[in-house]
Amino acid sequence: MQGHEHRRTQAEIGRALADPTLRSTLRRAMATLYERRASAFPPGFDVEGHRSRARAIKEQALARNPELLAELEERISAAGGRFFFARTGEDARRYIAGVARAVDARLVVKSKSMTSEEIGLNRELESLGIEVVETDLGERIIQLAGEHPSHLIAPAIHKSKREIMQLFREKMGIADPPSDAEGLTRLVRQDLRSRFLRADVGVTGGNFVVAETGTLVLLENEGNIRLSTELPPVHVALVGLEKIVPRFTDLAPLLELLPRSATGQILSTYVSFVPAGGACSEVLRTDRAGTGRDREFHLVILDNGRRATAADPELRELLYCIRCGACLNACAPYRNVGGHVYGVEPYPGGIGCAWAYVTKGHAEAKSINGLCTTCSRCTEVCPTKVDIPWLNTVVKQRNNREFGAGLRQRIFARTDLLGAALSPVAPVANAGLRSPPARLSLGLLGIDPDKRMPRYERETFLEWHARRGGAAIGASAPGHKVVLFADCFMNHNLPHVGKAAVEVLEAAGAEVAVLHTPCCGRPAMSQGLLAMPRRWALQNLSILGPMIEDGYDVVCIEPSCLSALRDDYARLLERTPAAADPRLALLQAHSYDFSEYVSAGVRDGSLALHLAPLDGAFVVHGHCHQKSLGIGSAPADALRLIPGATVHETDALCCGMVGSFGYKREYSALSRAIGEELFGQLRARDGQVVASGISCRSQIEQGAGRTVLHPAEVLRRALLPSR
Amino acid sequence: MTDDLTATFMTALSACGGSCFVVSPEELADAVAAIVGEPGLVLVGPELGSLERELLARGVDARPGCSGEPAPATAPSVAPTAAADFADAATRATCGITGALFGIAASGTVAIDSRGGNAGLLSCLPPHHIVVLSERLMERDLTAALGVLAREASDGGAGFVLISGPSRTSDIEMMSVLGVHGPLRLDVVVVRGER
Repeated sequence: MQGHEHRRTQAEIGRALADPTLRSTLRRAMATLYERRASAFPPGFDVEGHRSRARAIKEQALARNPELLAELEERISAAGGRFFFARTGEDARRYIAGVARAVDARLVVKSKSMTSEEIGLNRELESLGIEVVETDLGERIIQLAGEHPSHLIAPAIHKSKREIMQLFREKMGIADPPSDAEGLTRLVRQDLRSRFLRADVGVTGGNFVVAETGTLVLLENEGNIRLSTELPPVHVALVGLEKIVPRFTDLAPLLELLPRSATGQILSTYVSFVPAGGACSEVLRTDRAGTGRDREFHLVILDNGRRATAADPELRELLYCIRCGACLNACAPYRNVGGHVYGVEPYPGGIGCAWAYVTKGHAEAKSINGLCTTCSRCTEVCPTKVDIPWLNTVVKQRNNREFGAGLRQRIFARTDLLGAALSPVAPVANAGLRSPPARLSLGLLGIDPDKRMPRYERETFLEWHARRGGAAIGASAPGHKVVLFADCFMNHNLPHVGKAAVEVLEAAGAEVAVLHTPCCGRPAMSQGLLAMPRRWALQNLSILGPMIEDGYDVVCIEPSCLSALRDDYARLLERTPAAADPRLALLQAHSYDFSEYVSAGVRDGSLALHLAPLDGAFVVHGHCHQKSLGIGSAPADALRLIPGATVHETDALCCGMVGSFGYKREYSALSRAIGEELFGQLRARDGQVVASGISCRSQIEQGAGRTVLHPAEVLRRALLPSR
Repeated sequence: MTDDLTATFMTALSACGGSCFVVSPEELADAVAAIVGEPGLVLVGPELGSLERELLARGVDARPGCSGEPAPATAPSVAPTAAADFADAATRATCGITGALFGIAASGTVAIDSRGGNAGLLSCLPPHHIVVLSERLMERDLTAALGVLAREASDGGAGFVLISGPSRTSDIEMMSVLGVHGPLRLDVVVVRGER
């Protein structure tokens, strides 16, 4: 069942997880970058406003790309620069090689450019006998090591100081390299300074290009970009077409966001504005070292799949990416294994999968597609609000179309059918799933048989509710009217959580209706199977829409289901007639997480809960989708309704299970490794562990050996008998 | 009296590793001579007018940081004229002194004209960069600064660099190191004047 790429990924992950130096170096770096970003947005800073403006600018720039390209070409040519549009990576390589050959270049200095990595420029130049020297410190380190960058902005983030010392010993012939970062940096400065002075060509990338002025904008901290653009007699800038913005003033929100998101700086140390005719100083403008040639500036704009992407409504927003790397720092799999595991050069992480699809095609993207858990933590930090999990979902869907979806994907997609089939035979099913034949079949399917499967209950939540005779409070009762969304897992695996939620909501004065609704669609979406979820979304709209029109709110037990109703349906139904259905907006506005709903209701006085103190403290782990929906503290807020409750929130990024991710054999070790951060925090604290998601629950129970309750179960225990 | 923008500028600049000095026009030459500190070749951007001669008079080995025109007769030795010589001189120099188009208070940034007068190389090759910035050229934030740059950029020929602190990296284990390829030290001398 497991394809070749699964085995490769599993082996790569295994290697990374077994490398303690990599893991500790990476963990420290990721935590630092993540925190620096967070502290770069002080309370007065209008993050949302800036993000919306930045996104709108990129959106508009791409819509007008052809005309902006023409404007840019005119600007560059009029100022004496050369403009070249490269349709493919090969076109760009050939053009740049031609420029280097024309000046008999022997030495090319390069500043960090992911786009040049994308097209394999160094190999091309080296094949012509030209020495190519990377000048960014991190990039120089990995060039000496013969590796590829492992992060968008910090290419050598995976290397320890000790490894770098060893590298300098071997590759620079330095017998006794200094043991501090400062000394190592000095070595590189000295080594590269003389090369800057005698380089024939400087090659850079570019962060933004302004069409109206022809200005190329480059951000950096080291100064190597400035030297690469200003010193050599020829400067070639290679830039993806998505970097073009219409007007100079469009740079404002982008420049405010890029350094803050990337490194937590207000502004990068150097922001160079290279004019349309080239950057060099007057003194070097002509006749450098008596060659008699004028200075040259070449702007190479690269397509390589971008133009088609700009015309692709599902993937277009990938091109809003400004390559800050913040998404990587927020990505649980990336933080644990680093960029090399992805194996598709040069863009790692969730965003890298979509870049691989656009620039290299189906097969490459498929091999790393599963490493995105679609947890959505990256979208919180993206400066242009790129919905990276959605891009991955789309790529998965297209890969399914191209290669066919596997049996394992089809099984994980149908949590509804699994529940319906297994609940009636729950005792047999629960025992059977642990039996040797079942373990063997699971293994053959590519599912880790050692992961604890959810237990099935004989009486489902819906059956209980019917047996109970429906709502306990009539429609005439005052206060809230709630539809409790009976999701597949709650219904078949955790009916007692649903019961607790009904009882708490009713005790608080709400009328609770329970309906037969189809699966929210999230499990299938996460497998890249979108046809069924689209149908279910429409069905849910037609069932829940009229209820909401009738004054009901929809309350979810499982945060992933809420994220489907509140967020994903809009994406799923984009470009369908239902996109304009007013019930879609109603559903978005009137769907809530259980904890969010109860604590907000009690706090504004529209719900009333009489709760008794409970013994012991609570340790709460927020679900990724709660965090990405901006309600990360909702479970803790709900528990704080209990008089005298001591509530501690973990700050671990993710539990590591993320739906079916942790069950997949090739990712199950990584899933445990991600969980370790959380398990460590839980082990360090006494108290009842509380989590809202069923996959968090399984992961914590197995990984940390602690029982887990849903906030509804805790509140149920604290309910005072009604007076 | 130091105004609010300058105070903001000082705080922001020191947060990114640079230093700021506020002086009157009369104090400028003495202050810069003191900030230069160590002996060595000091290249002064032509946009600073007579500062180079004033530094020479104070015992600083100051030379014009420009080769586009003949060296002033007052220079004690031959100024670097050929382009390659200039780059070599800028690399040998211990300090480069340039003017600035304006400052950005919110981020402690100075904007340098990177094409005219070689301020680009003077601000990048030597290990120490001193910027002379007129206080009345202080912009509040990036948005205001981009408005100024947009006007300058509209002629297509102008190039700039925004500089916020000394050259730095965190590429080795996220440890912050100053002076990678550019200056290790950045001092901004703000010259008081009427706004």
